[in-house]
Amino acid sequence: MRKFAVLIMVTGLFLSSCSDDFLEQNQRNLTMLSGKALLSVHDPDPEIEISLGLAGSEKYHIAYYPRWMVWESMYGKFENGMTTLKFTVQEPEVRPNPDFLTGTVVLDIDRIGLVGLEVVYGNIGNIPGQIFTRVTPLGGSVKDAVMHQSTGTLVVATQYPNQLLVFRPTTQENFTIPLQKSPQCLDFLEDGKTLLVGNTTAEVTLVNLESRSVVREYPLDCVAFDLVAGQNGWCYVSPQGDVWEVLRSLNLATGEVMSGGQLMRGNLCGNMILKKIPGRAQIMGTRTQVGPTGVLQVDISRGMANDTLQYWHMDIHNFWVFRDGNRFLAKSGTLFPIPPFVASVSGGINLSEVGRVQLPQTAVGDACFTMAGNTLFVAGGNSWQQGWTQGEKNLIFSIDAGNLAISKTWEPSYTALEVNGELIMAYNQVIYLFADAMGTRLWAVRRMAPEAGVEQWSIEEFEVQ
Amino acid sequence: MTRKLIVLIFSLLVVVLTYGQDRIITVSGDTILCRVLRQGPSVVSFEQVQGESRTTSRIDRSQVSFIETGIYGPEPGDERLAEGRLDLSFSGGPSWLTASTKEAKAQAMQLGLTQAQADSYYRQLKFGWSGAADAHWMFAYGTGAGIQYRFFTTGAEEWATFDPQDGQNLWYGKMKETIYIQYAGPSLKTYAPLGRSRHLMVHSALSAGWMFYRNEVSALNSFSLVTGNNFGYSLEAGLDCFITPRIALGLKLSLFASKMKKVDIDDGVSKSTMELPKDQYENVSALDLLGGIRFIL
Repeated sequence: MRKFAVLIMVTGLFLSSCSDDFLEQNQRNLTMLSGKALLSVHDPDPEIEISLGLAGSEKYHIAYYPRWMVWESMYGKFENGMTTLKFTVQEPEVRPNPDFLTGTVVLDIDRIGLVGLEVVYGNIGNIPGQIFTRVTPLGGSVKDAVMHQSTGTLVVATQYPNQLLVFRPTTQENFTIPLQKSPQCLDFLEDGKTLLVGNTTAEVTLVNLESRSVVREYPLDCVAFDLVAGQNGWCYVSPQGDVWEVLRSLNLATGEVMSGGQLMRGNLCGNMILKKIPGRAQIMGTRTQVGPTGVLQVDISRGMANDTLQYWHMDIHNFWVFRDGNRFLAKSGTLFPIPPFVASVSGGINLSEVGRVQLPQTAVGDACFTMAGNTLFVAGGNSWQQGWTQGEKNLIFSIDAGNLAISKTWEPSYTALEVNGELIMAYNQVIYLFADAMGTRLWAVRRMAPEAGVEQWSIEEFEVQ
Repeated sequence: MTRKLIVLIFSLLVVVLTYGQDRIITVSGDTILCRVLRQGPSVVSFEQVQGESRTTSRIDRSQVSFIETGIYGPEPGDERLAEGRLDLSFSGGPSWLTASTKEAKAQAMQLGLTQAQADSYYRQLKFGWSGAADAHWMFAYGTGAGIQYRFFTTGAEEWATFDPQDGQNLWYGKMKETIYIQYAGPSLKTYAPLGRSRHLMVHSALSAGWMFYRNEVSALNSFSLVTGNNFGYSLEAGLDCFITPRIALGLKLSLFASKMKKVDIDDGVSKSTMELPKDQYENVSALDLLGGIRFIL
């Protein structure tokens, strides 16, 4: 009997070696969480918060992860279904996507199993649930933006709604001035407290930033496509239109509007870009609807624009005048001289190139200068017309105004956007670029890329140092 | 290594078993089969066993022609080793797998384990625990036939980062194995008292039978059950100390040897059988040091 008992025991032990309980107990399925964890390079302490009610207070370890993530700890514990994964980023040797680091993180959670989530790390300016002060969303459709460097006041004019958005970054004083008319173009008066607003209707509005109100409206006989405050008590208006046109000179004291004469009509057409030449009683312009776009130099020394222009028959598309008033940067990155004004129409002689900024992209989107004029900041891109798809983000360059060497480059951040339930990373085109007086901070007024299908504007701030 | 251990164990058996019974030859030519207890200047004391009773006697030195000691086989008078007895033994203790782990370590390091982690893992795996039970029926004095069962288990666990070599991702997790080996087979066992002691007894056993292997492998998040079986044999030698006339505590050294030529792998989704190359036979041989209890019924 005793021998029989031993035999039964041995048989039972052998049968246990055939059991597959081990496999049944360890059946593992991976459950992927919906959505993606967005992580921004601008977050100095990146972390991922996971909310998983089922996890209760279970322990877990990180089972799978992209090698660019270096974890503070491989282990953790849920508290009321919540946990936070903390990590640092280690730049990988190979980066399949130059703009984003991506991957899948899988947690092995006790009693629950494998739970995964996708992660995206990059230059993202808007992480839901996080506030980055460097990116400020703007409401409405931006039509123009100007900055008064001395007072550090940045004003953005938008339609839908019609308003002026006023930012004073140094004092964090931001406010909105609602407008009755739809703004189209802007320029500051010299005091930095009042500015002129050209509307989509035939008048110019004078707005006082101190009282935050419209103080006067000047009727015009045209719609202002662009305007320049001459800092001489006059405002110069380029009319909107696609026919040959003349400048309007608006006397801000009397409200009188003077139109240019026949000499001017031979060279100007509607929708012309105007810029003031610092240190000179002159303005410059280029046409947007004919080719060559031409370079026009206008004398304003007598208040009203001189009917006699100086003209160069060349394509510049857009331009930015240096602080010294002696050079301008064309959209192609080429520098040309600004000759002394001679009251004659020069016409056939092209300006000689006096320098070229070696941009990796083909066109200048916008440019600005420090107060001293020794540094030039350029938003580069491949789109030659605002609002056109360029297929890539702009780059911002810091350039020595003397030797034209690029000293630093910035990339505008991407905007995370959900389109039809899909997360996309939309690049932003820098439409306006501003620097503070010392050139220590930059502000880029950006529009989300047209291919995103959504018109969203924002201001992104960059530290130069 | 295995061969050397076998030779060693057999040598031990020869030494412990070739002790003998004493013989006193009297001057008249008679022979007394006994166990000499003491040889004094005038008398010689000796012990004789008759059935289950022992008697102690003396003989004058003048009556003794000469004395021969240890020249015959085991003393036939120890009733514990008599024919028809049943010997039951249960033991347990540490075990060491004798197989080389050099190649396995190299493979583990290719997966991402550090040298220290690989060393630790296989050090854990080589050390295990054994349990054994046997039952033998004495078919002749001091010699029994029966069955032997051996159970062995070992395991290793190491947390490490593993590189799937895709250049992008890493795995972190547990590499764990738990091995169970069971063996059973018929065996032959011999017993003999150690010297003149009534309390100490040595034994040796030889068994050949069948081994069953089970390895529960978890590597990160995949789990596999590896099973197999093959012929195996066991050789052991031990020393028992009787604490009562029928119960002894003992210690034994045992060599278990077996290799697997093929294994069945079940990952929970599919099952496959793998024929192992000769140089990769799974060697599950082990050296056991077991302590236990013996009952003679």
